[in-house]
Amino acid sequence: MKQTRRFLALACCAVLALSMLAACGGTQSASGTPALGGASASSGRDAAQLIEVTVAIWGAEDALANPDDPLLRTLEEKTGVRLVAQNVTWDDADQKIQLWATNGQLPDIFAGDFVAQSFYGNWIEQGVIRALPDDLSAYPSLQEHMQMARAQAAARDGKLYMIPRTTYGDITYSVLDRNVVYRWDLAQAAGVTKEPETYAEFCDMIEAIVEKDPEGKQISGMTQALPQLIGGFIYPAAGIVDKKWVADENGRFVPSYFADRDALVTAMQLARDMYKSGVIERDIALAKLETSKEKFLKGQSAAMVFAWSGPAGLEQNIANDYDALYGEGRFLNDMRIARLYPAPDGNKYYFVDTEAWSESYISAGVDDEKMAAICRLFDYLYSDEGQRLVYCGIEGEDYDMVDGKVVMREGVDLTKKYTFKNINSNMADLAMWNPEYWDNEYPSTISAPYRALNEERYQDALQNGTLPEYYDSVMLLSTPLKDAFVYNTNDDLLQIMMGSDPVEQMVDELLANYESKGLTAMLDEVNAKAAELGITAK
Amino acid sequence: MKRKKRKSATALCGWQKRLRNDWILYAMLLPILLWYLIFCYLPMGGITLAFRNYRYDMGLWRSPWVGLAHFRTMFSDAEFWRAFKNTLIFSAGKLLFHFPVPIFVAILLNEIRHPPVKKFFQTVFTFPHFISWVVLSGILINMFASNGIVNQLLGALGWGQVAPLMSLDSFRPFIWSSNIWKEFGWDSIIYMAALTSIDPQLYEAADIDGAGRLQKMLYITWPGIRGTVCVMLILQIGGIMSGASFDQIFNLYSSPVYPVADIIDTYVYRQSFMVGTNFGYTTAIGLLKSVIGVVMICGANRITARLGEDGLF
Repeated sequence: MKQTRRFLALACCAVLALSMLAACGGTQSASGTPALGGASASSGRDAAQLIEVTVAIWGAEDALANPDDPLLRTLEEKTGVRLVAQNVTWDDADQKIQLWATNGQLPDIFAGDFVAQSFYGNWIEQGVIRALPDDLSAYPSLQEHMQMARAQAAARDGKLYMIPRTTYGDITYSVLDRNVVYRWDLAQAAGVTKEPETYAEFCDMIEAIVEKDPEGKQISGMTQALPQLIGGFIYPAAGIVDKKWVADENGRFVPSYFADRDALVTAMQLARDMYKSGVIERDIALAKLETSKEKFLKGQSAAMVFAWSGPAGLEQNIANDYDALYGEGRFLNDMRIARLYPAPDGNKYYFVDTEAWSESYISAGVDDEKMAAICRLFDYLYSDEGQRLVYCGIEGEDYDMVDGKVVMREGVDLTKKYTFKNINSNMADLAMWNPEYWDNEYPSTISAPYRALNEERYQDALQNGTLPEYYDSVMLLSTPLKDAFVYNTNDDLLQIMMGSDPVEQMVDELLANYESKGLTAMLDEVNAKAAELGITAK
Repeated sequence: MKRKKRKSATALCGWQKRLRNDWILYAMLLPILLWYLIFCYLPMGGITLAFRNYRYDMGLWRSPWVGLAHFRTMFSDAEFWRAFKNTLIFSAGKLLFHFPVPIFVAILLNEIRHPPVKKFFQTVFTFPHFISWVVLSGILINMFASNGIVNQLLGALGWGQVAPLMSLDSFRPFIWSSNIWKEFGWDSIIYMAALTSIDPQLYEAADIDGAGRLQKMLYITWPGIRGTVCVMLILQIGGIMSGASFDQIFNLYSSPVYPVADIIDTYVYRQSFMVGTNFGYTTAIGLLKSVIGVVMICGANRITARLGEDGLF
């Protein structure tokens, strides 16, 4: 009996110890780098010929879930690259990539908005990312793409360390990135007869809607899809291009945000007034996409700031849901998109970010053979044929070429037909964002009226808007003080907007705080570096 | 000298004897010790990062030493001091407002005569503990939104709106009270367990002596759980640098309330993942936090022992 108990106890110890050791170990796929898509030899090429390239882009796993997906197989055949997901989502991508960078587990290709971050320079200097080959002549489409000003501005010692992911055809299109959609039907019901043409008129209109509450739904003011979007509407009111560096009257380079203290006061005062009068809803700092959208759909928000994919993207983002609730075509009938309104100097500024939001990076762990495969992949994706494959599908099945133009076949929905085009994944957008959101000539499933909204907004910016001179070559410079200096225009805006002290006082305190963090020293250093590199104000 | 040698030999024999007799028990302890070694002690090597400037190409062990540079940066960083102050305030509030609640609730629950009623209340009080802050924060944000249920009720009563998550004055009380609501049931379990260990004969004797409920609480119940309360107090003081739960603050705060809401954990998170990648600096902050925690726990333990209670060690 005693021996049996001892044996059992010993067995328990052994099981505990073994299970612990087993937990310490693990396979590659269990350690966070799942090898989806690598299960079967799926292409016409011999599987052994395919070079596996791991990729981290939002929702990659969803797009690569089916290794036999025809689009994916075609891509493999054309490039000789087998894509393997190292999954990230919109919520965890940046954190995962930062951690992988520290422990050497970076995927071969990863995407993110890092080029203007302080650590981009460190990544280059400390060998985290690898530059593209100096000679890209073997990859003509990629070579042409890398001529983009942003790519050149981010080069270090003539080497290209990131591949910009084209978002728009030119910088003016970035006006599409922030759209304030308001309830014109309710404005009319509240007695407003003219669409607003100034910030003041816009505020009056929203105040009227909130005050009259025509539908009796306890409507509140303007909300937003995310806490950091409102700046895209507020800062242009004072001519601040908060994401860019500009030159001041002395030709000195400075972030637009710090270029003019009075302009900052103007913008912050507008935000404060809008907040205090209820034009901006009280809960705006805690805005989340789904809850804000739900409020707007319920008719409890008079306006909402949307981001990305332009007014055309509204169709999928909210309009279809709105029409399903209130009737076909109601969204276009009930809503208007705020036009560009003039700043105190009379100019109509608009939100300007970039023509290529986010970049693709290549890990330093990639060897020459894999680098060649990656270049081949991107070269194909930037070629006309590659773009057609990714965004129009397979010729003869999904589209036909008529007089050199793509004509999509009736009823084709690539997102439903191909796993590779999974709507929850950006895998198909590895090289660039879908041009359908800005290029109205591009084949698209977005309906014509929504695409027309895009064009209208773009033309508004092009014809009526003012785009201040800005300097990405300075913004993307890396200097020790610049890399360490951090400012957050969105947090500042929310803090001052919702603060209780006088705006001027808060702005002065804010600037003094940045000064104590070394603003002037940083600017001196950056300007010295710019002078050294021969960058001068136009 | 001989006697001394003989004494140590005897001690050694005793140790060996215990090992021989209870080797199975010691063997069962081994996996736990290994677990601690692998997951708690070996990672402590990472603390050295607080004195290094982390470089991706050199890794944890070869990055250059920078001495106390990160600590100097930390002590001159206004945002760190703001987070430090907020952390202490949250902890102090937790100690003051939260700590007594589960004790009080446990004593009250103990007074309930009918077991089904007692179980019912225990279940109701404990349930919120199992809702994560991620879910709960969404519920709270919606409840206290301008058109949320709370403000609708207040409006119906003709009162003004409240916005506890947006106000510098009410954010902290909201954090404390929501934490109390979520955790007091769960925290009271340990006191309930302590209460069950009190000899029922003491209550019977007190009944015979004509003691009232309050007297029984004061002279039997309270002394019966005082030791447990002391242990919990020491642990609470040891965790003073945690302030409030990271999950709770992170999911409920926003930039307008940073001045009163930003705690060390959220500050480190932002520094690590949203601002930059100065891992040496954030490790230094973490180290300081741990050192203060150790000092506090030792101090509290000592004070408790001096007051005549059993400490932790």
